[in-house]
Amino acid sequence: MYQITVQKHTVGHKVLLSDLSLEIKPGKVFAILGPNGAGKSTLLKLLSGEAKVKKGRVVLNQLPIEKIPPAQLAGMRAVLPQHSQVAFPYTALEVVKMGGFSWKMSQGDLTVKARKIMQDLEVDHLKDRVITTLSGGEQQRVQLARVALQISQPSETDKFLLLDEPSSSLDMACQHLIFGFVKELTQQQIGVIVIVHDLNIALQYADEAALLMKGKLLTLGTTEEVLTQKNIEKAYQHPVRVVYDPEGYRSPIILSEPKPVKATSTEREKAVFKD
Amino acid sequence: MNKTTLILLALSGLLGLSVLWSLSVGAVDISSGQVVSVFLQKLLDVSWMDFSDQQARVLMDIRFPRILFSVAIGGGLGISGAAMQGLFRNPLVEPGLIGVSSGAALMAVLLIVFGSLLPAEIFEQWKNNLQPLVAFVGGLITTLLVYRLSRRNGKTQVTLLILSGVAINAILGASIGLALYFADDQALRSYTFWSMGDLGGASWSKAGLSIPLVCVPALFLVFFYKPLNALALGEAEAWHLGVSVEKVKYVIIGLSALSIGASVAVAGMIGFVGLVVPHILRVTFGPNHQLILPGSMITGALLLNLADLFARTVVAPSEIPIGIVTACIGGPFFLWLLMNVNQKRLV
Repeated sequence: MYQITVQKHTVGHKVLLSDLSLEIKPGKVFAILGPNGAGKSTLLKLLSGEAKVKKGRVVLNQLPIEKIPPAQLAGMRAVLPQHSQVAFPYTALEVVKMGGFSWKMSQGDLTVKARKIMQDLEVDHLKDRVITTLSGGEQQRVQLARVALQISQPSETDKFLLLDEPSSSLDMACQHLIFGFVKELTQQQIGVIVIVHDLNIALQYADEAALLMKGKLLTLGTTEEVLTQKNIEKAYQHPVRVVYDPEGYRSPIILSEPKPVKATSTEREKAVFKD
Repeated sequence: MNKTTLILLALSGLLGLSVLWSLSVGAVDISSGQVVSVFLQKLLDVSWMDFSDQQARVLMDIRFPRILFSVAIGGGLGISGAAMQGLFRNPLVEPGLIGVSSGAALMAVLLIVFGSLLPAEIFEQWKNNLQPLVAFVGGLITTLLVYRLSRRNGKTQVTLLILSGVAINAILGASIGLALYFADDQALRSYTFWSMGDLGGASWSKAGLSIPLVCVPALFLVFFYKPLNALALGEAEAWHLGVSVEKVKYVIIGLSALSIGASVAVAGMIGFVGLVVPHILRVTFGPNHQLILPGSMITGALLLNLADLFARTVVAPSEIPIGIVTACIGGPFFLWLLMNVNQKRLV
């Protein structure tokens, strides 16, 4: 279980997060939502242990996160950053197998496991391709396979997968493939903590959500409770409509209103004439 | 047997052949068969082919230590280059970047130019070993300085490390220039040859200390293939995977600095091996450090051995500084590589 309490987290003189307290249990998809600059990535960095909270504490499986040695931490949580650039021309399979860094397992067994996950993400046929020659969506799926391999390590403690906008800039089908895959991971009691920009994706896949605004927690609850018209408009400062399925089977759909285009002077003259 | 082992065995075989070849070439004629029989005689007391006492002495006292030096130093430069390129995730890095060569060079030049100011008895007593020693210490101090400068909040910033390396190299370069300004012709010539690399001074008396100092850290680097592979994903990513990134950084920098420092100290500055060798291997066999690290060591040894053979035979009885040979052959070869290899496999 993840427990995070942030009284105040600053970088330089800028307060990035404050007055925030969360408890995240495994076996669910937990979405971190909010506009740009709300502190989502900072929150994820605190959770992963990459950054140390200035005032507050992060506890993972009853242990303060900064006290857990990297190799042990690697068995409790895996992290997929928003973009990563691989420095040398490794093949896709080699990249995925790096996920087994802290595993005690033979190379052969690791290959079998890696390829099983690559099949689930539909990238097994790319295994011998150099990662940098793959498309954005393919690279992202290979990287996801890597962190999925890392977190599939058997362990007594709760396990979490932290994802920073895993499907931004990817096409629709690819988005659903990725979220479908992480949703399935929750059946193995892995907790998925994911930053999502697409609110409809959040509604379709996330069980719970936290909506952040200006470094503070605006609301917390099930995704449908959090993503109401009022909350969204307050956080994003943009008008939306939430359309509920009349039969109640499907998750609601959020429609964002287009920004009104300023009328040209000709149009305004015509409008006057019409009146 | 897997592919990696096979490739390493093949490279070692090539190295063995090149050592045998270079042992048999030189001012005194010794055939390869005689070379083998001298070793058989010395090691196992088995006689095979006839050889003269003089041939055996030339082989064991002059040629063999020199070849041992070229193999050890080439290996050290090759693997340090590979490890540092991997650590900095940058294919342009060469071992001199962390200041170890220029630090050693400054100390060497200070000794060459101002050595006469030291008390005569110290100078005489230490004559052979003083220069390698101060050069080694100079290299290590500089590396330590560059490393300290790149620390922020308990973490080593790679960009900062590279930039402070560049700055320190510039400062040391200027200091070397300044020291040379006060040098007489003899000292100037002596420094020039040292700065271009020179294996001519190789002897058993120097080997005892310097060969282990070059080789032992280099051999330890071989075990860092897993963290180096993970580091290719990025530092944060490697840490998430469970790599103790900071520890890996200072251990690899420390081992490389020891190995390069020792090699610069005994043989002067030999450029290009540390930069080119890892590239050749990566282009041919892919970037996996499990192969690249030991492979760079063997290939570096092989190439420096051949370069030294060239350096000491092509204008015999005189010698070309080996640094000139490595740069003359390495430069054009590297360009050819850049032009002809699929870009995507390169970086």
